Amino acid sequence: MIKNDKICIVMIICIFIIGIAGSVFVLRKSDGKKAIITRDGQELYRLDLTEYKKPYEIEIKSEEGTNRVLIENGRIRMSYADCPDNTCVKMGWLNSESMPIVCLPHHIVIKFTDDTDSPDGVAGLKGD
Amino acid sequence: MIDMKTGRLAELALLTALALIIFVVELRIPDPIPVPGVKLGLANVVTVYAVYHYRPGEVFAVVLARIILGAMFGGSMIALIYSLTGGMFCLAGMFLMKRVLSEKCIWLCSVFGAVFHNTGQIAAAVFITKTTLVLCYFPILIVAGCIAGAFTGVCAQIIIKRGFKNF
Repeated sequence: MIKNDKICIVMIICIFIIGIAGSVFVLRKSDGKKAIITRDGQELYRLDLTEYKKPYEIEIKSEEGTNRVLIENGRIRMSYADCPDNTCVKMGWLNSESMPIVCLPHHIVIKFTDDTDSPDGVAGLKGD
Repeated sequence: MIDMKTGRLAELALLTALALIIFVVELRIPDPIPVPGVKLGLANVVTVYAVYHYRPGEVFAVVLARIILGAMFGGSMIALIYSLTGGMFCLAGMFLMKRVLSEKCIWLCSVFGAVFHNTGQIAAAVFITKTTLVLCYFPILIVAGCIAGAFTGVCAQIIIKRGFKNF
């Protein structure tokens, strides 16, 4: 049994180190200027953040609840959510290349996108 | 479950109540890291204790009752599916690890439980949001889970070693 313990300790240390390496990879900073907002994997908005000089707020309503997204000075964040945990609001500005802002209760994801050609040209055209 | 002795039923109810109190008190503690799903999970102490003292079916009932009632008290019914999937993964993982590990390594069982819990949560999140994007949280959840799991596991190990068999 003691041998099993050692194997398991080594295993969990490996998982932990892989986790730390993964976190460092995921949390690296991004200078992306284009962001997309999706719900249930479907694209709602595609935004060029540099276009908004003044603070601009988008309201996203669904049967699950309401979220507001704030864009300001080339940055984007969730400014309001009527879910009880409010984790997406506490996450602050979107600044990581690969880690999106996720509102799990409302299935909304905000992330940077790197493709240069927007399919519809006008920001927010796809919003419902 | 029908032929359960009354005393045992009372013990399980007491455990559920205890876990629920810990859960509700923990809700009052602000999130240390603003990442969805990261929390200390102090109620896990009760789960680990139960895993080492009760049959799988009984522990399953305690955890199920705690999660559903906790969601009602905590007011986040939408997050129920995440905690439910995570809780069930965690239980399965802990019963698996209990067979492998010796009594000295109860805390390790809890760490594995936490990792399984996070895996379940992420799987549920991928399924619900229909994007693989939430997988980005996985490494952070694993790191946080290992630390929180080790902490709650050590707490549970101390309780079990003190022999609090009869309350």
